[in-house]
Amino acid sequence: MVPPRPERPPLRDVLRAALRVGAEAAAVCSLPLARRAWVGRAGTWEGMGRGTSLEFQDHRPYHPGDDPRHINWHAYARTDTLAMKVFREEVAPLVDVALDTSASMRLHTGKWRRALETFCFALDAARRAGAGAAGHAVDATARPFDPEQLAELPEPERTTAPDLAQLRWRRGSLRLLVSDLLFPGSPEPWLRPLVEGGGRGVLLVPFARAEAEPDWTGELELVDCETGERRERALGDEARELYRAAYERHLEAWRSAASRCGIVVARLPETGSLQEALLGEPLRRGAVEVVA
Amino acid sequence: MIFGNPAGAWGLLGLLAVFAIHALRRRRRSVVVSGLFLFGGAPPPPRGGRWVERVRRSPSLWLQLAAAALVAWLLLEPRPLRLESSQRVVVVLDSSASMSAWRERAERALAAVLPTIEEGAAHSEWVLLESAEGRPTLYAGPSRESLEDGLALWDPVLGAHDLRPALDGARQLAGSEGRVLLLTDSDVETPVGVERVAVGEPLDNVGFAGLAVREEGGEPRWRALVRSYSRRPERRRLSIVAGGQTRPLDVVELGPGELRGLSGGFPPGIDAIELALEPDAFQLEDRLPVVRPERKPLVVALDGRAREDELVSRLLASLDAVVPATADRPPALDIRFGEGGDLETSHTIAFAAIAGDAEPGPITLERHPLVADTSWWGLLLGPGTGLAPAPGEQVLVWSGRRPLVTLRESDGRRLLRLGLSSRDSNAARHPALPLLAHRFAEEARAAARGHERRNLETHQAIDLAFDPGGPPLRRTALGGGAGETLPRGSPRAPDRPGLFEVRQGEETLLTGAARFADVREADLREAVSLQELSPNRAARLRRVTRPDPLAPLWLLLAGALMTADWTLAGRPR
Repeated sequence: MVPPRPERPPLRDVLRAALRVGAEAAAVCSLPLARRAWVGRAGTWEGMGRGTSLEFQDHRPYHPGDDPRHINWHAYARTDTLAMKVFREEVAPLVDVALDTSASMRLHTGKWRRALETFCFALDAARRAGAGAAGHAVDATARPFDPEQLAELPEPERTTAPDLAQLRWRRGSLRLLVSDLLFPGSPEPWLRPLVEGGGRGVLLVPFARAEAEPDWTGELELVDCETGERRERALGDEARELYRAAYERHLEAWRSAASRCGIVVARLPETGSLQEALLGEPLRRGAVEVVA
Repeated sequence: MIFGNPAGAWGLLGLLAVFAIHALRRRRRSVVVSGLFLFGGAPPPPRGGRWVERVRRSPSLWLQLAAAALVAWLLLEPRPLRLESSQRVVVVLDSSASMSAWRERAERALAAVLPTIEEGAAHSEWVLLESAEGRPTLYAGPSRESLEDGLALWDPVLGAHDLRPALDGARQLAGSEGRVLLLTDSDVETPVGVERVAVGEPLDNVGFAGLAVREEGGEPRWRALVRSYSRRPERRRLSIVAGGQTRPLDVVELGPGELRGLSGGFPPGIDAIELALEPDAFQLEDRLPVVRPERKPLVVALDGRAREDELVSRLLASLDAVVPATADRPPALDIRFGEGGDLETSHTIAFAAIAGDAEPGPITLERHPLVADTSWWGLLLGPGTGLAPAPGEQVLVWSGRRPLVTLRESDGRRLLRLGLSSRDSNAARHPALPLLAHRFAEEARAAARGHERRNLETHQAIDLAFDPGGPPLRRTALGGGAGETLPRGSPRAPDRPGLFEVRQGEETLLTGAARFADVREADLREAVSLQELSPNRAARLRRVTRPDPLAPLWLLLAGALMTADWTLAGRPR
């Protein structure tokens, strides 16, 4: 039997606060949309194709039927050849934000609050950037999740890792996943959906101090919050060091795998304000940018 | 310091409970984690093993032990003694013979109880009494140790007796604030306010229960009863001590509760023997001293007419051990015809009918021991019976308005005058007059000094005729011994079974055999052990003690210790 979870405030109240904190943070930080070209509907961000923006992209030979306003008359005077000026396309990018709602995310109140704040921030920042934002909640299954509707989340199913294959990532979208990454297994297969279809992935990883620096001692019965598995362990200083080393190795494995996939990984502590957390490792690793 | 609630000592078990809890192997604390797979490097705890482990001397252990000790202390309700408090404790020892079977237990019980009673006040005054009436106080003073020494003087040899007079006296002696403790061996009812300690236990016993000596074929034979006070068959060896020699006599086998009669004769030339059963826990009735009974001789002087009178002859024939008076043997009873005249012997019977022709009247009796319960119906009197009234006489029997029998007492001498004779009445064949004369003659025998042998019970009062102006009466064991001086007013047989003599100077007045004869004391099957102390302990405590002024401090301290322990326990580890 899994021990009962500590009492938590209702999700509705936590979401209201997270929306407010996320909006405040979105006024300071933005998503990393400026560093690459996107696909999507017409918008204000540089697209991957050719368009009608003022930004010159290339020349190409004239074909009958081309708009004569884009003929480079200066080049025709020099070369006696009709050449067309090609301009960059401007689009509204797509942003998919997913929140890992497995039991491990909800175990520590501070970490869960920070995860919800980060999720709200990402959606708010995407909308401020004119992107087509979509929110998702994912554990064993995936479902749309809009925090502004203050909807309740179902109790997490018993699983070890959120199944990202259940999500319908949009092609060429910026894919932000808020997850603690605390599940066993090889990261690569799990990360692959984040970059398939021309997507770009960003992992925002909230963490609790109790996970990073546990202070339990003595003979303990450890119960996994997601599977209910029990293990008896004698925790002393040496055993805690072994745990910390395993924790660091686990994170490093995720970072390495993410780096190979071109995915940014940034951790956010449960302590301090969300702005302070975003301006730390996420800013350094390019997971967020400061609003100009 | 007195504990108002001794039952609070059970609270000390809390200390053991704390130790036991700390000795139990700790149940592992459950911790919910989000990354169980990361704990693979941590070693598992040792599996199996004992469910108890060595107690770890943790601060929590010491805090809990201290708190438990303080709680036990508070439960005991300590109350300091008032320095001015005092009490008088009267200990009444049951003098019944059955207590002799528990003497050592009684001493141990008192040694255990008295220190507790002594703690009941700052100053104690002790009084040690026996329940037997007339026994001296064994100890009175401030020392409990001396009181325990006074137990050596306690000699429980009496038969069953009422304890209430002794307990009432003890309560008066103790006063309203004192304590009275009865030491006994049975579940006797006691007055309110008397504490009691019973030290008996059901015990099987066999002993002599009765004795009779009768003449058979001209020889005296003893007949003894042996009784078993046991729930199972008993077997005892019986021996006889005669002439200083002991020889086995028989083996007595008795069923549960059986009463068996034994009989035998006296060895030739031996007047005193002792039957002895194999001794058991209660030994007073394991010995049965027996003497060949011998009555004190009645020396009688007769005048000439009395020797020939039919009535006198019948009277003398009904008396035992009658011997004629001689010059060396002064008479104890003088029987004569005619007026008594000067009384020379202690008792005189005078036939003094007056001459005349007065007709007799109806017989009426006065209230007097000599004529009590006698019937004069059928006494035929002829003319000339009756007595002339004399001053100073008490009429015992009237014939009409004329005295028929009178009694005169003067200077310790008694004259019984009879106003009839065998010639002018049927008195010789009527039982009333010989019975009256027989009673008077036995009075004369009892008043006369002389030697006799009697079988008596222990502590039995003895009727002895002795010289009031002579040397003191001494009672010694037969065959030698220190002996003791007897009070002249109420000489008694010894308290313990044995053969004895009572002498006045060189004259032996009595050779006796004292036996223990109270079968109620010999039956130990109903003996009990119990302890009923302090029926009004609470009130006495309030009187001699005051509440502990530090109690609130101990309570706060206990609370602080428990709070500290709780705080330590709640601290994250």
